[in-house]
Amino acid sequence: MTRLKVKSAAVLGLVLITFMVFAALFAGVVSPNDPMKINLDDRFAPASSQYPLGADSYGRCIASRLLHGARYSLGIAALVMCGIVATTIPIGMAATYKGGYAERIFLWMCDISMALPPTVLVLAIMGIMGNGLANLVFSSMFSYWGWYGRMVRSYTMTEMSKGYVIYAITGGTSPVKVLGKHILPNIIPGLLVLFSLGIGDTILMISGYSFLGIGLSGAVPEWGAMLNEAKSMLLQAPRFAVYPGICVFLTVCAFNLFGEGLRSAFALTGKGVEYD
Amino acid sequence: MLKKFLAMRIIHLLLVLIGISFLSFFLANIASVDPAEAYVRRMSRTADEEMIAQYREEFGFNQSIPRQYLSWVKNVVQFDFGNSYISGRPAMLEVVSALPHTLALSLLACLLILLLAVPLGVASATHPGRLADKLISGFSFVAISVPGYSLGLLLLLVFGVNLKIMPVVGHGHPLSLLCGAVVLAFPMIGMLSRLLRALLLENLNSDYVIYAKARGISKRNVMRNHLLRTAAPACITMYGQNIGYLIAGTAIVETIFSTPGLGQYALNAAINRDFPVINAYIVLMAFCFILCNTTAEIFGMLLNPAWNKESA
Repeated sequence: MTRLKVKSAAVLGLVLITFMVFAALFAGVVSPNDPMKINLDDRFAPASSQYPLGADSYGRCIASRLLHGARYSLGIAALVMCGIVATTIPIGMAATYKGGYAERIFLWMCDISMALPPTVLVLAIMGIMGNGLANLVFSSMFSYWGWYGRMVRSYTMTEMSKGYVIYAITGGTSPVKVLGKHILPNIIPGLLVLFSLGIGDTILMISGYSFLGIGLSGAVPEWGAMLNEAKSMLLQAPRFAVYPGICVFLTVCAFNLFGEGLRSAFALTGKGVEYD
Repeated sequence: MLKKFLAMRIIHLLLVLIGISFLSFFLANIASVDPAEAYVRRMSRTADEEMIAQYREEFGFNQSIPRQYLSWVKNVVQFDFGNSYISGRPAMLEVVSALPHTLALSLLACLLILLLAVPLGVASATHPGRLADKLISGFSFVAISVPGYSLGLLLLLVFGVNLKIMPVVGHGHPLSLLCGAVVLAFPMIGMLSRLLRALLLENLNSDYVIYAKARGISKRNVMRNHLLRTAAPACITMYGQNIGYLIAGTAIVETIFSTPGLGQYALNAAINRDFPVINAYIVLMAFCFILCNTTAEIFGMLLNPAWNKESA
């Protein structure tokens, strides 16, 4: 019974994710209007066949902006996660396998990244390096890097103490093969859960930064940036703040549902994955 | 053992601070903006090369990077981060003077977390699978998924715009402080109550709990003396880490409820690229964060019976 429920939650998450990804990919095709086009005649226009969700204070189509916003919100989060995955997994696994100084330097790097809460690091790096999308992606990657690096290390260590890895090493299997063929497939389920929960987190974080005006300019139809604009319109048109908020909430929910569903499916204990 | 742990922690803190100082220096030097030029252009409209060169000399930007780094470290050890490029006042003073607003928000949020997360976690674990558990689990899930700025704007809309019992702009009203704390606490309540539930359920069927029940100890006492005690170390470690995140994560809340706290101050410094203030902010935050984590870890260790036995 519970198993089925967990499964349906994961499926619901996956359906929502698929929907969001499609919205992001085909935003240009399905949007009714140009998201950047300012129509001063249509300021605050109510919902109509031309503007399915109405128009904002510049007369831009809200629905089109939300659809294009999926591109930014999902795209940036995916970029950050891909960067983290592509660096933490090989470096973390290799350093753990090698041990000694390699491992210590790796841990020191993780410690620096974890010495400060992500918000502080991103604020500081953006302040020092300047505003911009590339810097936002870099600083977000850096601020979360250590945490994921440590998780990769702890998973690798658990596997390395198991018999099959010890036998493989004693049998003369090359390190690359031990890491890639034996350890990696066994830590993938845990990492999949970790990173899918991480995407939800990253989306929240990135949209929070754009809400503060860091990283992206207000004209860009990112959900957080739209909320930032909506804040000054809160008295006149509170609905402007509602739509992007719902979008972020649903997307984060989708990734969390999917991640938790995967965790139950792989029968991983809650402690090891989320809170270790 | 505790002394050794503390000594290790202090060494760790120093190493991390050294790493961070390298990093902030390295980044400042590869950044495309020349701080002296930025400063001069802000101070006067008719900035020329001569003035920029003069300021470069005054701030020491024309020295070699290792030299600049050393002189910077020498000042920082005496808590002198230089003057803010914007206001001209000492950066450390500015940052510390913004701290009280942020601390008030964070402390209230900490209190809310403690008051709500523990009962929710316990209630959820004592009725697993029942309606209460489902409701609480649903609430926790929503709490960790809802964006803070949405919740903040919603509260502002309800209390500020519709009910008009709180100023929409301007700070100091107790209700806006409370709303800010709620926004800060919300995701942490979800996380902590989930962790507590998982830890309690894990031990609910363990031998020592069954034995305690068999001895006729009331459910209430089993929960208080056995289950909660076992769950405490992990929860306290997480709670301590959360306090660090809370103090750091106030920028959004402060923007929404117009509180002149540290988060907003740092945000402005970042947007204006006020390097001394940013550096002072980083070091202060690193200190707060590591202090909170270490305190929580020490409490966690002291509460852990296995560790007590080892040290005795």
